[in-house]
Amino acid sequence: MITVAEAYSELNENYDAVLSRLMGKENLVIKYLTMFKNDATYDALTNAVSAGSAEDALRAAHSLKGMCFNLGLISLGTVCSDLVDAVRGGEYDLDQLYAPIKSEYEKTAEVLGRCLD
Amino acid sequence: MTKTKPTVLIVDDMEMNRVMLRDILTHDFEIMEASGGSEAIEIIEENADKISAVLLDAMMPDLDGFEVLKALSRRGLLENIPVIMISAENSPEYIARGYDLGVVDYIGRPFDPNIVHRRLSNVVMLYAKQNVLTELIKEQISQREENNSMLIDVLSSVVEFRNGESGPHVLHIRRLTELLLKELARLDSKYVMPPQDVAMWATASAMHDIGKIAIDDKILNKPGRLTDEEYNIMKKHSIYGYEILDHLNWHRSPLIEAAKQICRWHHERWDGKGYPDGLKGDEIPIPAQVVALADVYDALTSERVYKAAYSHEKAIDMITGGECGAFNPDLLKALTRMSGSLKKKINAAPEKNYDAIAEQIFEGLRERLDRV
Repeated sequence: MITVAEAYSELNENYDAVLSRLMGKENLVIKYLTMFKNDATYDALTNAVSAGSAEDALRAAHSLKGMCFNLGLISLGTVCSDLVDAVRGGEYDLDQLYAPIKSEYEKTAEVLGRCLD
Repeated sequence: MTKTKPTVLIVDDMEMNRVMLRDILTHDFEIMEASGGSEAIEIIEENADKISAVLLDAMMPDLDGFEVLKALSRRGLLENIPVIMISAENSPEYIARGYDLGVVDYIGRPFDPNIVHRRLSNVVMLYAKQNVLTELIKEQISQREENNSMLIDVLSSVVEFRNGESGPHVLHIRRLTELLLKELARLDSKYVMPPQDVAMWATASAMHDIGKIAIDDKILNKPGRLTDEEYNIMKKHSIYGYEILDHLNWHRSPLIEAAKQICRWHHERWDGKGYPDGLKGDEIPIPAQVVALADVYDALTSERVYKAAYSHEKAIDMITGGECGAFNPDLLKALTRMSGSLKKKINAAPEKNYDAIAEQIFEGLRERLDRV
């Protein structure tokens, strides 16, 4: 088991910023991280990409982005944001945009898995 | 103000987002939640009186935040319930669209919980103050209107008592004046006037016969037919009423000015054959024409020492047939159009226009603020 702070540092994210935004309450951070880890939005994104539905992918990536930013998971949030912008822009390759999200998400989930039980 | 917590509706399809907002706000607000746009609209419609503010996510699968705003706006719900939009979308066009559709504030993700709390509290307080103010104005208006009406009722009853034609005459004139003015406005937009003006003319109409106080008892209450000379004296009640009001030092009061017109000209006729000034057609102010018609209708349908009461139908026939002098064709059209419901409405209590009047005042306030 690692601490939440250690998890953020392993992910190269700023834990203090998140903690101060959440009124210094670590239990709240843990509560939201747990919800994030159990959330089905990433699976929805994966399904949308394999089904080739850009509209669903955009919506899922947008939701994921919002959650990530609120939790200070900036790297994952940014690659989600890239997908949203690209699809809105009209020129995109869904699989290519999905790849970095997949790798960031898996890394995040793995680290969080060691920190949350 | 009440000490109960204001209610906030959180609309977001993501559970985590809802839980985060709930955690921030639950100490000071009563929380309701909706996980989609259609559900949000349903909840707001059912709880419009209870909800003090809405936190609305922009992007949702079933009906997005913008569609929710449009639906609320169509239902007139945005005027009293402030909506704050929350979104991870921070592009200026997106934010502008939210404001265009009527949100009062826009909060981007990631948000600072303290700031969400502050902004929400400010908005809720602002709207609560405005609602309290509206209620206060309504109370003041109704109080004032009631005092006015009471004094005017006393005055009119004194005249009627002396006149021996006690009964609901004054009440009927008032009611008929109000109904006819409203029907005229429906007939043609040139007759439209603000609700407080309709109320004012109706109040003024109650004073139409106050000049009779200056007419000798012997003539006023003569059981038989008046001689020409007596009739000429009787006709002076229109001028007397005007003069009584003119001698009051209330020249700038719109109500008194209105009552002066009505006293003087409620016996004028469309073809110029009325009295005292023999005004013709549009020279006679519309409200005075309305009161003239109301007076004739009520005289016909009431019992008098010298005559029995005619039925409503007979009275309408006599008036439209020109037996009681000439009237403005538009006015006759209005009378015919409302004829069916007239009998029922005439004895009903006057409609309370306070809401409309308060709304009017706020409309004026908003216009003035816009110019600043």
